[in-house]
Amino acid sequence: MHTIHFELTTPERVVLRREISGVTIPTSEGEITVLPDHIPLVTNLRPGMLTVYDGSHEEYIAVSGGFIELQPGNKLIVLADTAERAEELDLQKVEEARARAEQLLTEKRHANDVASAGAFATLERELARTKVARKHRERRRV
Amino acid sequence: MALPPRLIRRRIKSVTGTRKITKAMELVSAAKMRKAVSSVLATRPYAEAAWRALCELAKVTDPTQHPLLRAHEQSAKKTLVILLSSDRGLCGGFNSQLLRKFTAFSGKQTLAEKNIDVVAVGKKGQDGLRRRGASIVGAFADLGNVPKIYDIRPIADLAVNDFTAGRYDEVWLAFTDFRSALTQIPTVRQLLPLTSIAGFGDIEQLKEQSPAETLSGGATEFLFEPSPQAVLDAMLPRLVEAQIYQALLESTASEHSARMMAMRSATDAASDMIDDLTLTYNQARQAGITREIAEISSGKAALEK
Repeated sequence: MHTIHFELTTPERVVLRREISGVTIPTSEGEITVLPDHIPLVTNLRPGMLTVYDGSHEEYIAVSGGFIELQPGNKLIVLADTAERAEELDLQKVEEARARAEQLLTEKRHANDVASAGAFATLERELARTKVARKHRERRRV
Repeated sequence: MALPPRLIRRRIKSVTGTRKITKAMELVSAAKMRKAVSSVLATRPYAEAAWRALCELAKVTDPTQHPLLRAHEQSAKKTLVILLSSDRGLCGGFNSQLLRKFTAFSGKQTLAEKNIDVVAVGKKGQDGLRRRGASIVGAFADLGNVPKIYDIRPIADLAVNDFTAGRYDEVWLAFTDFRSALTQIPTVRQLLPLTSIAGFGDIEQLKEQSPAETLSGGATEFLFEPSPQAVLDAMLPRLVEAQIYQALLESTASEHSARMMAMRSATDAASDMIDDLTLTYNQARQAGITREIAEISSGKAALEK
């Protein structure tokens, strides 16, 4: 069976490194799914949820901005600013952080552009985390 | 010798207490150093992958035209130095060596003459720079033992924005390079314009190798979305960030190993002092005993007569 050698790194650590059968990635051009034998590609990563498929098993990872590099020979490298696997996230804490980010955004909306853009980026990251944490909890219940 | 034994004993007790503290600090620093070193190593794959992507980019666009890579053509240069020092002392010559290196960098001219502004990271560096009369435009402290990438994001943003806005013509990074637990070398390295990536190579090299590789390896044409330029725009600030982050981790590792060495020599010095004092104490005690025996026997001899 064809697999992709997948590597997810942040400046702090290597989050995930293994063979997978496919992955869905949020990019600046929309969500893309990479399957084996994809053409070489370099693109920007958006904050969101990254879904890793490994046979019938799925794994969710919350990422913030960065970029991806798909090398010839089925080698995929994701360089994310931050990345957390679903089991590392605590839903309650994440929800709190998201509420803070939302509040920050409403406060900063009328401030200058830089501050509101910063607040928006924070909110986007927190939304991605919330999504991943919820998804993880749903799956555990099933 | 004239010291009464009681006082010497008190002194030994106090030095023993100090030795316990320095020994403990040595062990703590050793543990923190190991942690810092492993996080330095953990940043390598990121920089490696980013460098490879940059090599691919060099084949389709001329990366040297990017604002972060282009040198400003100006006669009166204004320079920004990011100085990474420690928050705490008791680490030997760690901070003073870095500051000395920084002073050597500014040369014979004063800091104002050379138009150098400094971003000081760490309290000790701030204090030292203030004494030298440097103009500090930014100060960061309390980044902790294992700094996160977002801790340095404000520093990187400041450097990148001010450089692209043309407020500074060069940005340098002053940090302590961790070679081994025994040697740490204070280093001043250019950060912007980005001319080389530490441990990988020069940007200039990219330019030279690009045409040849495009000719031979036409098969592995990369697709860039949305465009090579947009990807480059997103990637270069990240690379700058990664550079600062790595330098910060190197500095942290160096700080801990410098402290470990300083504490080890303090422990050794305390042990020597205890040995010395114990000898003096025993001599004083023995002298007392001898004197007492002499007094008793001379008293007895006086009675017998």
